[in-house]
Amino acid sequence: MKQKIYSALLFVFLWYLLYFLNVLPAFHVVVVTFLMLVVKAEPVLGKTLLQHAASSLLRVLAGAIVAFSISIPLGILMWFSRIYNLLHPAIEVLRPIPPLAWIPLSYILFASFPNPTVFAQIFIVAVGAFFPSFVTISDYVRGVPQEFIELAKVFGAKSFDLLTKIVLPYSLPGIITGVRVGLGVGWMSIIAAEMIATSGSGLGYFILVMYEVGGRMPEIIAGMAMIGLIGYSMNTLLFKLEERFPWRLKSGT
Amino acid sequence: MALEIRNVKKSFGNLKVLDGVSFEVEKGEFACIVGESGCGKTTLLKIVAGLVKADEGEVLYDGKELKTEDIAFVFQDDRLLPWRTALENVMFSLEMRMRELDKKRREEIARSFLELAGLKGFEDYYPHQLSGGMRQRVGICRALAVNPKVLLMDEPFASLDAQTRNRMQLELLKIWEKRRKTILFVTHSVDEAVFLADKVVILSPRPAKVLKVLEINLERPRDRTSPEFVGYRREIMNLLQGTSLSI
Repeated sequence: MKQKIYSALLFVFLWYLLYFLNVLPAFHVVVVTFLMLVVKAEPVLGKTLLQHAASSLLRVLAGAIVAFSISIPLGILMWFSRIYNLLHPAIEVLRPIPPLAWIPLSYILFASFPNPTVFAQIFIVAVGAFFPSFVTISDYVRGVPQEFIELAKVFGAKSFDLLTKIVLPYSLPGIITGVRVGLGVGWMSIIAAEMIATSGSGLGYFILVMYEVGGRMPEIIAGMAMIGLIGYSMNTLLFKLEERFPWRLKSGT
Repeated sequence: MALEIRNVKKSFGNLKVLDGVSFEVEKGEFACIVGESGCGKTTLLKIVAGLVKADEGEVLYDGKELKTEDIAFVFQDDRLLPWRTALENVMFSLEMRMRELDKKRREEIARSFLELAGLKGFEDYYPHQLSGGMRQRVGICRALAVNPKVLLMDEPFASLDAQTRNRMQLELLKIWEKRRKTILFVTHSVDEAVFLADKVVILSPRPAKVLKVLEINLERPRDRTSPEFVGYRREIMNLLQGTSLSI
């Protein structure tokens, strides 16, 4: 706890240093702007910071649901070497393409939809969340100890039993890690996607507009703080959940 | 004759591991296999279990081929599933092997075995909350629950400290006296073999052959310090050492 206080003090100190060097607005000004924006609608877009956060979160949620409903079952099936050998090379080629590189293509794909911007954004989040979650889950699944498989076979397990009674429960913490990592990338993707396409709301769009109407630094930084806070909370919450599994592997991220 | 191991041979590539191993075990008999580490004891046990295929030879029970569904296995590492409680771990073997039973019945069986092994009250503990000895007992319960014809045990107490190990040997004998199973127990401890077994199968170093099958005619519980006990130990050790010196 003490360490955290020192860390916060150092942060604020450095901030004021930058303020006196005329780089940043004063810390307290940003804090007040942040709190005001949380409760009161900002006039240009007519929405509070919480409303922007909610619409970003909703898009992330939609994209993440799409991503995870593919990455979780597919990741578990990667336990079968035949499926792994089939999918792994293709995934490795697609994976390095940044989510944002999918934006132009996604606009074409969703051009005929009633609300192409929203669909394209959800698609980008889905792409962003899919690859890291899929790779995390499939790595975990591939790591199921052979000893457990042998044990199950001694007692007469069939392929389906191995999948449901060994691979799936063993991989549960890995699935949560996958969801955590995927949400993290999805969250970054939505902020970036919102800054490229006009969407009327969302934290990414908000900070972009605050820039365009005259470089309003306190508002921009307040928006960034909100982005950071939400990302941090999602990560911490899921990490706490992960830690509850005594057999989980150490995860690096 | 219940269990017959007939001329079992096995090589891994150029490495000859088992060179025609043969012996027999009566129904309800407790047999120990001893031999130097790396002599192929575990491979032999896995062949009996049907986990590894022999190059030659056969494993028979009552004259018919012994199948994986006839045996149960206790591993050297306890190999409990960490996401299952003690009770659920015992139920695991029943879920695989006795699919016709409903959940309630499986739970009853599992509970009765845990009680038999002195684990009443620990049913809902997870493996990481149990001691090494307790975990091994859960593993034994899981194996016994499916009522196997032959119980195979691969150095189940090797990773336990000396006191726990001695206590576990007594516990195992107590359980075995209540549920007479044919047991094939692999160990590299001569002391453990003489303490537990009706019959000790002594294997030579790799490639393994049976050096001798020794009947232990001592009342249980056995006194490790009695002259007879020591005599059996000496005989087995001489056999084991004799062969390793001649190489």
